[in-house]
Amino acid sequence: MTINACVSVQGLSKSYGDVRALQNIDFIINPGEIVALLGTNGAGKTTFINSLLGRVKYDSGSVKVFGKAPGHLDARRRTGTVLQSTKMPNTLTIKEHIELFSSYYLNPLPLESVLEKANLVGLEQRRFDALSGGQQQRLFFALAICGQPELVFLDEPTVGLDVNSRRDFWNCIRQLSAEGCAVLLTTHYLEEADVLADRISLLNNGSISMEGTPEQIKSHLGGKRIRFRSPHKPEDFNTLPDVSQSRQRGDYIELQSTHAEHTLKHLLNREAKITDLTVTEVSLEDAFIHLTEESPTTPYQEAV
Amino acid sequence: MRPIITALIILALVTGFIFLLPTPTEEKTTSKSGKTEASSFRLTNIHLFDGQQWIPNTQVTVINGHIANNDSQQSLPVVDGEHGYLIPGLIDAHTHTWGEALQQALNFGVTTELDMFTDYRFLQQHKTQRDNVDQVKQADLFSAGTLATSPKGHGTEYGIPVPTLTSPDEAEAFVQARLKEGSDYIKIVYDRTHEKSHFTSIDKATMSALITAAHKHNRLAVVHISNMNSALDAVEAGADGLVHTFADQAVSDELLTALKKQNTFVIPTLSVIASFANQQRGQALIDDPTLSSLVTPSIKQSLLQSFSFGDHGNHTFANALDNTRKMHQAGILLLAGTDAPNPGTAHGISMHDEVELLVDSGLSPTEALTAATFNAANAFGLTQRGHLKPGARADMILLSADPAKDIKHTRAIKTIWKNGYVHTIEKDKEVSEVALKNNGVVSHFPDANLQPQNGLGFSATSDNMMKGNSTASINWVAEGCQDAGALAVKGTVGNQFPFPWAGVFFMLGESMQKGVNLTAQKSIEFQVKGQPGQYRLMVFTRDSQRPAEVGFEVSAQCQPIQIDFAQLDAVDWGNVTGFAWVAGKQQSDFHFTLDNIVIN
Amino acid sequence: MSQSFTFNQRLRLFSLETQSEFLKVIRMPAFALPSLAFPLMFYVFFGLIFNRGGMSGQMPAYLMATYGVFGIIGPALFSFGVNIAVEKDHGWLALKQASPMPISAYFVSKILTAMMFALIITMALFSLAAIFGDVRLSRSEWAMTLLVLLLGVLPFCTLGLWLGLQLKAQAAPAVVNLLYLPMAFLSGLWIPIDYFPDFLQKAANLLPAFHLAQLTLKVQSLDIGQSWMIHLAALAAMTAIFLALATRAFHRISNN
Repeated sequence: MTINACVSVQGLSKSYGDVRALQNIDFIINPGEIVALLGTNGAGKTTFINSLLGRVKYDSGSVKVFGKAPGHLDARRRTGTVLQSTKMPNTLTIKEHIELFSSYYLNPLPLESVLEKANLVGLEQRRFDALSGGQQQRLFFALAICGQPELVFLDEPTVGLDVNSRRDFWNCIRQLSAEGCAVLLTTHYLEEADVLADRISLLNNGSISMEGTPEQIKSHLGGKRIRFRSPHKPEDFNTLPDVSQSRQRGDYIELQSTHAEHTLKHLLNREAKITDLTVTEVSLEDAFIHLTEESPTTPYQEAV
Repeated sequence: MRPIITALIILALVTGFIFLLPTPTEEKTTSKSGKTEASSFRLTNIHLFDGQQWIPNTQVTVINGHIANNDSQQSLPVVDGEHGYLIPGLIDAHTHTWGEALQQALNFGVTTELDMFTDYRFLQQHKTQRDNVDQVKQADLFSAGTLATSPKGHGTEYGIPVPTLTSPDEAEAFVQARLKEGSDYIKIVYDRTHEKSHFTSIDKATMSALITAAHKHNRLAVVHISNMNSALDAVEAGADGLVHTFADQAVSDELLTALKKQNTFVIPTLSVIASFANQQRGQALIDDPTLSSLVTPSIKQSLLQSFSFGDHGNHTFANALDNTRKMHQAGILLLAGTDAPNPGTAHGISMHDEVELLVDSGLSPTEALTAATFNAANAFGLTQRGHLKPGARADMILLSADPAKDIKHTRAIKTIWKNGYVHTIEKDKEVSEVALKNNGVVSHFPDANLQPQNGLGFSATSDNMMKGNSTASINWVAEGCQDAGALAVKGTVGNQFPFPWAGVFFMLGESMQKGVNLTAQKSIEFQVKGQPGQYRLMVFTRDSQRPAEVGFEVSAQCQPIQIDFAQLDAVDWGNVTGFAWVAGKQQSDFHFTLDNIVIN
Repeated sequence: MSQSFTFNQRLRLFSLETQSEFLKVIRMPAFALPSLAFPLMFYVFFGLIFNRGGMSGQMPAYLMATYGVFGIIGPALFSFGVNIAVEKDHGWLALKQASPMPISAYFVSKILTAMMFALIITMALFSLAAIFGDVRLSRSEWAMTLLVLLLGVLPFCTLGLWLGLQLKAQAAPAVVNLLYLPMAFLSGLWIPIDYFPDFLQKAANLLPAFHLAQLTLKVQSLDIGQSWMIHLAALAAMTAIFLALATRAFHRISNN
């Protein structure tokens, strides 16, 4: 643990009745780094963020934000937050919202630079209800950064945004990081974590199952899924190079490969009776299934 | 600093707004001394008559002109009642109210008058006062406005044009017209035996229709009767009240039963019946030392008048007292009313006689007080009046002696409160210091400027100023009676004002508040000619409601007229503000010439 | 090392919060118009047109006080009850709690907004009463009536706060109306309480609006004659109860 860590968490646990939402979590965010907390819906990401914000009373462990208890005024003054699925009062303008939040901080940024950083220049007189989804999300971002925080919590900030809006938002985050602000980002998009984060923590069923650089994580999780019909059993394909997993799913056989091109080459060379071949990216859910060796019948969840 | 400035601006605006809001105290509560009196206080050390019963050794709390609960925590100025007797302001349930009557009434502790026939425009003028608790110098008025009678029936003889009706079909429209004029209730004149009198009367069916119409509009219908048979008809027709008792015969059991059964109230008006019967009670009131300081010349004048035709003697008056007694014994609701200012009665002062007459009829003094307060309010649905329970209007009288022991003690008035304000009576009746100059010569009218040697000047006068339709104009003419030059007056006497007049007014004092002392003079002389007929000389004095008047005859030739002041003994000659020469009531177009006016 | 705000910064924070709250509400015509117009409309109908003659001419003054109470309760209940329910469900409250906003600013701004509405309604009512109802009061009575009405928003703010924290956003308007309108009627805000049967008059003692109405009427001595201390104590007690309930509800939503 670094003395100057923005966030340091040790042995954090929280249960709701019988449900263990968080189990013995150790976690740290150092100044200036972007940490992605990657996990499926229901993995405990929001509970975790809320613990850091002081909005949830945890059962055991220790949580410090800038050396203070979560929710302490000093901690809140040095952080900014974007929460999930928030709606703002419709009748206020962007400018009014930002000015109000700026007044909460000791050294707020000037309105113009907030607008610039959040890519909202020219929209300051728009009311909230006249904003697109991406603009709304950038306004939340603006509210999070207007006080020149040293740490920003972003809880699933790009959920529901189209590709372009998401890219815009990523740029804002990168710029923020470039200025030395630490970011904790929760997401269930591996791609997002990969693109943005210095470090990724995998949260699965309330505990951190893996931690590392995007490359390290990807090497465990990444790869492609190769799907086809074949009269053979899945085990028969385990010997192919770079195959990390194989299984029967309905009429199909699914192989997971860390190097799909290589695997495919060998597959097609060896087997002639292959039909309906498709190659797709591995979803995070698949990755977690793989990681935790859970029952393959775990239902798919669309990641939106 | 912007928020602080914003807050200060809002505060300033709100304060300014509060100061713009109207207050009851703005002009009206400033008394002559310039001191503002409050209508909130606690009156301690009193014996209280709340309109129905006595509560000894108590106090009342008055907040903003209303009686409040005594447990009100508000800190209030305390007024020591010095063990006096507090009763509600009196309600005279039968008056005819105009001019200065309401001011005069209040001086005697009558805080509400229930008028039974006056010019509805007078009612309209005074109606709003009763809705608020401002500081006022006069009693509040409720009124029937125009009465309901037949053509040439009782009520039409006063010169005021009165709409009449003859058949039941007209009743609804008639009542609607009265309500539109503002009448608070409907007063009906009815006489079953009118053939014996010189008045006509509506018939019973019409009376009945009028009462039904009034009830349909949620108004009371009260009936003027003067004999028992008429009373029976009125009660049968559903009258809510009778505004007189009767003296022609003893009240029958049948009538008593009907009155009781229908809850009909009766206002015996014994004061006016006493005057009718020449009981000479007016002089006794004038002579009462507790009242004498309040008796103005005009009150005196009114109390000493008598009905020219009324001489029914003691016998019939005894009937009226007896009938009242029997009604009281039968449990009929009795209300005190005077019928002022009929001859022999006057506003305010006669209520003190009326309660005494009620006691003479067998009511206990406390019952008589209830008749003069709670009963009237109860009968006419005036919830804030006639009692002194919380919520009542703070109209009240503090007496220095116990009226339950002797009803005459209602006259021992220490303080009158109207709407919670102490009513101060201005009785600075001191004699004017201004005397006549130039041997009392007013003018020989030598030239066209008409400027007199005494007094301010001449002007045309008519009831036009009271929205009547009489007219008058004056001008100088060269041809005088002995010398050159005279004052010519001409005009028309109209019929829209109850007491029409038209002629010339001579302002003797420097204002209507400041007259001239004529106690050293004996008479006024003048020469007059013009359209032959009966004319009137009016004498105006400070503070009198009505000018005193005396008639004189005019012919086509110049005649010298001398009017001795002794003829007009009720006039306050110490403070005469003016004279007027006006045409008589019966005339329409008239003209006359005045000359050589001298006051000797 | 906790730095603190200068007085000016703090002032700016509270004023911006209040300004935002006020603008937010006033820009919602669906809320602002009925809150402002209904009490005034009712007063014009029942206080000025139909009842003029009632209570010996006291009706316009009486109803000015009671419709004033009616008028100020609305914004207080809705601003707290409905708005907090909505802001809670929309995550707005959570975002504010995560930010360095002092929670006092959140409540103070809402109270001040409710008071601003109360001020506007009261001033409009006073104007109507003075111009069309011939209501005449002394300066101190006008000022006291205004003051009682402004401070009278407090118990209803706490009631609204509790409801808002308790209710779902969709249910809040209906529940608040269900409480507001019958309470207004049973407290004698529309029809003088003296006209009620005895048991209803007694039952009214349970309603905060009744006590506030009596306090307001007390200024003109038009109340039914209980001591002002009873009314004040009742209001204070109810405020305390609602506040305690609201605190409980607040902790509950924070820990979910």
